[in-house]
Amino acid sequence: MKGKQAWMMAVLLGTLVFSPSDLPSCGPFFPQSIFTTTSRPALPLDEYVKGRLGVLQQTYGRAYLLIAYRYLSGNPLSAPEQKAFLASKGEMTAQPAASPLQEWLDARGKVNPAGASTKIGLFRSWGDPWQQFPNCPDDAFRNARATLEDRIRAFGIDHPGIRDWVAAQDAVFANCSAGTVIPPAAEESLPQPLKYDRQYQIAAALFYAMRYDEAARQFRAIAAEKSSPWCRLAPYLIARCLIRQAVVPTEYGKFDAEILRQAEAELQKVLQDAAGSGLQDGARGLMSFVALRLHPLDQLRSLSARLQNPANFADFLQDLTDYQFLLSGYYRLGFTLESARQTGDMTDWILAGWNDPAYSFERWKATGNTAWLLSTISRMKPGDPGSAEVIAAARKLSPDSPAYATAQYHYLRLLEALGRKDEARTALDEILPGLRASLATSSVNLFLAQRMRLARSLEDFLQFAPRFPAEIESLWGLSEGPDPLTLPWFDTDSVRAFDAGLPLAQLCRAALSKSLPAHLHEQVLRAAWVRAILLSNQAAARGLAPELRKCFPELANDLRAWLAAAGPEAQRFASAVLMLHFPGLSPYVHAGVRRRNVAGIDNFRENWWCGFNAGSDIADSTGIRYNYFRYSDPKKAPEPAEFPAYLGAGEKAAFDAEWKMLAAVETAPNYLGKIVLSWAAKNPQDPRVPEALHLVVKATRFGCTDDASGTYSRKAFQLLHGRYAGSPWAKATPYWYK
Amino acid sequence: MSRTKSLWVRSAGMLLLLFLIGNVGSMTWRWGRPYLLGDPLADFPRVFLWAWERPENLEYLDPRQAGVAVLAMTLTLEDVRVTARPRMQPIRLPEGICAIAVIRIETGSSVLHDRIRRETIRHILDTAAATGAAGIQIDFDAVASERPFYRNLLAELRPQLPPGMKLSITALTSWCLYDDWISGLPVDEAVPMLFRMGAGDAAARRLLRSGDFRAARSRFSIGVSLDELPPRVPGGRRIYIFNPKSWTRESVNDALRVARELQ
Repeated sequence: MKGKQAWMMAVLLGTLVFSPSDLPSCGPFFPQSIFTTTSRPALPLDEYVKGRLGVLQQTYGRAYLLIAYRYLSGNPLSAPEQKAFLASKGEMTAQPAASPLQEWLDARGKVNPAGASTKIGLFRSWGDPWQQFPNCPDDAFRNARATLEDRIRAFGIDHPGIRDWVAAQDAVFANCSAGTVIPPAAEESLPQPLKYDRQYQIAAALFYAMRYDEAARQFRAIAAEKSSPWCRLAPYLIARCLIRQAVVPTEYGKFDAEILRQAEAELQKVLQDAAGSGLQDGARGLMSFVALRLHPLDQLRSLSARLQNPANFADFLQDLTDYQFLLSGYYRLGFTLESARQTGDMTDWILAGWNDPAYSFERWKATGNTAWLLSTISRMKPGDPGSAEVIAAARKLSPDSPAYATAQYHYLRLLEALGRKDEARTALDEILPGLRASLATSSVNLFLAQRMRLARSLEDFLQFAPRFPAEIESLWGLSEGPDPLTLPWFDTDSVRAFDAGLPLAQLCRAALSKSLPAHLHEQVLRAAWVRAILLSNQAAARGLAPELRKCFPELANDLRAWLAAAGPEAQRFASAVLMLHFPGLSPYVHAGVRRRNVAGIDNFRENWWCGFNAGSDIADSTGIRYNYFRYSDPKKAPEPAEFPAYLGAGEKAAFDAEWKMLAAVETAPNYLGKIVLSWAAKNPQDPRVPEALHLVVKATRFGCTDDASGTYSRKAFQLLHGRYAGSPWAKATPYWYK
Repeated sequence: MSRTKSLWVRSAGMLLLLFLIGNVGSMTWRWGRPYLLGDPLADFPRVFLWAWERPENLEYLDPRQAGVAVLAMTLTLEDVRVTARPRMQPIRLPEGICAIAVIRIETGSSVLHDRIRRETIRHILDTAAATGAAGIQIDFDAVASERPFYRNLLAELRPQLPPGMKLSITALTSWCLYDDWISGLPVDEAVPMLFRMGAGDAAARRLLRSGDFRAARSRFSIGVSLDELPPRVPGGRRIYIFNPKSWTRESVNDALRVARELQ
């Protein structure tokens, strides 16, 4: 007893000492295998921005389609543009930026350390206490620091005017988050440059205090003072006053167009001032801001034209942002998608190119642009007008072309749809090695899916069913096995072919084939065996037993008992006991990364399968449960079975007959419960019964259950506690589960 | 009056009486429960609409029917600084509405030291003062290693709040079930978030069929989402309702109906 206490104490202490310190309290988030990305190209994006487009998807975001258009129309992205795009997607690490506010505080702290901790907020409310806007931008602090350093160089850090300058600038920034603090007018004794600075500081303080009219007046006065170092900057700041006045104190998305027009006029002056070249970039940015709101369609036209040609880093980034703003907010900005399409060929292609193959074809004929060729062939069906011409053009593309992969993919798709499967298979087999070498996994998987559909035999099918994931969305909750990116898995189309296409005979052959990697072979093997049992095909199930014992040695005892059972009922009971012992056995093959072991309770309820019948649901690789099989929702028309192409009519008929039987099979806890209760009624002396009853109750706790499961749970519980009350299994079963 | 008739009348009277007692009891439970159980927010509306970072117009909301919990500030805690991003989307609220300022806290893999805690508290107090809210609600999905930081933050924040200002936190359902680390936190309520629960979903739903949350402070309210309503929740709770889209008159009416049904 003492030893036991010591052990318990040691365990307790160990728990305290070695308690994990960084566990996520959210989740778990199941690993989601993504075989082909649809909203964007697969990560990393650097290959895509270099023009290796892979198989283009019409579902890509507009910015990705814009890049594709550039390459397809012969205007590749320049190196700065590639960098800008990657930066915009967070794929290029920006320089670790020191906070400009902190830099300002450090600089002013050298002059007046006492006030260095001045609290400065960056946002200010315009009256509504709940809503704020960024009032003091980073540039304000950068400009203040640069000016201070310049004045220190000119007058020395100990000059009284410098301390005064800092105090005035503190007052300016005090307006950033609230209130109105205006620096006093400059004393006469200050040197003239510092007097000019003070005039500017007063105007800036008024600006940040949201007194835009007064600030604009002050800036006009500064602009008129030609000897002030701020006179060239002042018109630009007048425009900023007007813009703030026009947009800040208004409702979401609304603005005062009249004031914005005044701002536009001011900005025109800045842009026309050849001497103020340092301001022109900023002025162009503000002009763009104004134009987006005052002349959105013109701006879209201008952006559409600009974005088709190489630009520098900053311009490309801003133009791309503006372009997306206009395309996503056109309805707020008062123009239609139709009018947007007319602003340029690229915009037309991005917005409409993928919807209507006839229009795309027309545009391709008119422009000769490969972008339109791809959007045409992507949506084309066999027999569509012009299909022969489009296919011929697609086939002419060289493997170096950015359009090659997309064109080949859809050419093969059309061949398949035309029933020319041998031709498609031969062509695909010829190009597949090259595609594997040059394309990202995401695109290769599309070709592999195509090749799987064109399989000539089961072995051929098995060769192309497994694929490497392009991405794994989350690795949390993945507790076993190596990095899933290094292993092939089944995609959903493979799974549907296995689960809702292959008849049992084929499934058994697949289970005995050596073509699949070990972890997938195990999946198919256990699915085939369980399915054989569910279909009462003892011969097929027995044929799999040796392989099952080899792959899952832990099943050996139960397999022996099942093989030794005499008569159908005894065999059924023995197989039920086996399945109750191993909750990971399932009649399904699963997509993506899933549990591999058959023994033990899975913490996330991947135990004892869900039924094929109506209302059952299956968790996919994300853990999201959804109705999956064609008979799963009685309100919906059955989905067609996913028959691999090589299956003959007899095999398809066999599958259909089997599927009807499987559709009647209940979810595992019910199916197994029914068998155990029936056996127990007829064989009360069988020593396996108490444990089987215990396991039935356990299955209704941890397995896939439905409304009927509670009945089996209760019946098993009552029988266990009634007839076998003294058994250890009764003691181990304190409850039954609804 | 025949014996049979008298029996009928007495039975009907008894039924009526039982019906009345049942109704009065139910109403008493519904409206008196918060006071009986000592809910610190008993005087607050029984329904709150969460208004997230998107333009919202709730001027038509009847302040007697619901309050609004407005996302007012998002704080990103890093090793060296706290980045404060106030609400930048407009919100219109009716006169007299009971508003709670929600402060969302996000973290990366930062080490959360004392200076970050002090700065976080300063931002929370500034937000409370600037918005004039009746209470503040902190939305922080603290991972295990962040809990000591969060606990200390709440302990320091609490005494600095203006008198009468309520302190609410959102809580992952797991915190209120098997991973209860929130009992004893100096808060007025912890709102179990019964949506986007991942694998905890089944456990929470099972518990809610008959049981209740462990932490006492998590028994006054629940948070649900209009697009993911739980089939059943313990009755008599203050309901916080999230809408993944901007609120409209229609969705507000839906939310109020849902709240009535859940209560």
